[in-house]
Amino acid sequence: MSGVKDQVKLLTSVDRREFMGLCAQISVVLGLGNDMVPKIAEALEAAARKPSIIWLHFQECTGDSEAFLRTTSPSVAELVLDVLSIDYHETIMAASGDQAEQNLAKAIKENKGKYLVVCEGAIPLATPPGPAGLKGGYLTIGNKTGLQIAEEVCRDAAAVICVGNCSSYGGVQAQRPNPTGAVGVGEALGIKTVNIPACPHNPVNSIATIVNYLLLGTLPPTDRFGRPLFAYEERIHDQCTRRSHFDAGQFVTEWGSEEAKKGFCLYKMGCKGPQTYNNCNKARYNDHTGWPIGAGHGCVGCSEPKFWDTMSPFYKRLDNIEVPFGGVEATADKVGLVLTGAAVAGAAVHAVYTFNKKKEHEERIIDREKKEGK
Amino acid sequence: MVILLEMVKVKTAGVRALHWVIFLATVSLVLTGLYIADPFWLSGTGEAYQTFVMAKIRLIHFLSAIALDVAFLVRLYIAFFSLFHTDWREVLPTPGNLKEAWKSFRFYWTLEGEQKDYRWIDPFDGITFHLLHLILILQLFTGFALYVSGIELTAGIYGIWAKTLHFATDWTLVVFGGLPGVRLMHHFTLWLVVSGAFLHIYHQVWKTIKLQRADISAIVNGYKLMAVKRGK
Ligand code: SF4
Repeated sequence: MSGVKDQVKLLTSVDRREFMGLCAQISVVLGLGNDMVPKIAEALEAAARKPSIIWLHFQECTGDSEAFLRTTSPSVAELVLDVLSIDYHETIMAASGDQAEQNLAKAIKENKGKYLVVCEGAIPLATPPGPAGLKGGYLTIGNKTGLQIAEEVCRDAAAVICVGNCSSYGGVQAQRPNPTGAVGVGEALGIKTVNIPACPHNPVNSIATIVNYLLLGTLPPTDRFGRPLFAYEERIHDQCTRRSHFDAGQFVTEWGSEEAKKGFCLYKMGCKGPQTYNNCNKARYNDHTGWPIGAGHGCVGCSEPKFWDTMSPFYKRLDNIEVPFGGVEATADKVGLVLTGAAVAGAAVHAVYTFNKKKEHEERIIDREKKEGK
Repeated sequence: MVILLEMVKVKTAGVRALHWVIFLATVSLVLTGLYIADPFWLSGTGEAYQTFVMAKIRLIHFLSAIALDVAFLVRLYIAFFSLFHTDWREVLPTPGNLKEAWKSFRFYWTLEGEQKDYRWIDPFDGITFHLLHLILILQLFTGFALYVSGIELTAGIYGIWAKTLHFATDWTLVVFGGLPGVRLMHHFTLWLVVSGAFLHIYHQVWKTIKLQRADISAIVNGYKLMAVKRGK
């Protein structure tokens, strides 16, 4: 009887509605139909299989935790307590100091081989200068380097999920010249991780990945960068709300201009949507209300590896090319024009030279013809 | 001994037609390519549904690319299986060809020594054509990598096409560092095509004037002049 009562209570409570809303969104993101929503709800509710999650922080800004906690459907409480079982998360757990470390050790021991690790932030591999220099010493928590912590925790994990660009590929810390030798978690440990990059990642994608694991017992198929195909199969450019303006050749050329107000395409303002794979427009941020291009800002390609190096300058069409000699960065057009100029100049020099020598040459030909008795 | 200049047929109508198809396609590709890189000289007016400027220019770019690639493949076939004259050996950088090409190169800059009369593609041209074709092949691969980047692995015949293109071009993403790198390479190679094409045209004009063998007419009407030695 109490079961039925509970169910009625669940069905009528606002929380329940929000919860089902989350399940519906996940179903959409995973590309499943409406029929799957109850199944998703069931999987999430099956307490016995609720995965223990250990959330690790490395070199990062906690933006991915922020994004995760900013979801209101479900609320933080629901997310942490009901939907998932987050056993260790430095930012939100009550414990601190030794107690926190004990929690971690306990979580690892109790769920050996079954828990999921969510990583946030890059792992530095370089050794700081000085006598106490330790490999990866640019990041230490409780006397352990980030690398050691990652190794210890990920060893017995069922799967490692990297959220955000930093844990996936190194993020801004790994930008040239990368003083701390920061790399993504997968690269640092030499393991395969599921990566949910972006800056910050969209929590719907990480939750969907976990749900996929709960429903099917496997991790979702990924592309060559370890990104789940359900979210990263399409380019921003191909699902963009401004795409019609792109095709129409209507571009914003100045911030705050009339074109910008009309919502024209941001291609000429340096939008990297054509080079970026993510589902921002479908999943959207901030409770699915907005996303960068919707808000009038070009895509910066934050879900792509090394985007700080390859996608910048953010407000310009990609035109930088690195010239191997001398470390000069020139624009591709400049180098190309110089090359073309050199070709024209070379031809001009050649023409002037050879045509000045014309007489000589002709004389020689006449000589030859004489000799040959013409 | 008398030296006579004789008109000889060097290029069939098909080869000439292919050359001009490649020429037109290249011009169109360079112009539309520059526009796509930076849409500066045209923009849509009115509402978005009333214009389709960028999409049309991209379509022209893609069609020209396909015309160029098909023409290139047909030309390749002809190079091996032509009934009139197979010329694939002449564009290979074999040691012999390189040596001859170097001789020509010296002649072009010093006018000393003598330039041999070649009926078919002369070794210097052979090397430049080889390089130009490598550039075009690079352009083909990076171009298709960009083209297919927006195509998901859908099912059916279109899916096979997409898969084939992904299979053939995904290595460029690794070599040039993702789509931004491939895009840069594709854009930069445009300038290699432009400067290469310019040098090619200059070289042919120069040869025509300097060597008096009507080299340019070979690609127009198929004939050029050859010195033929007739007995005493
Ligand atoms: S705003 Fe960016 S992603 Fe959207 S259509 Fe324009 S270039 Fe593409």
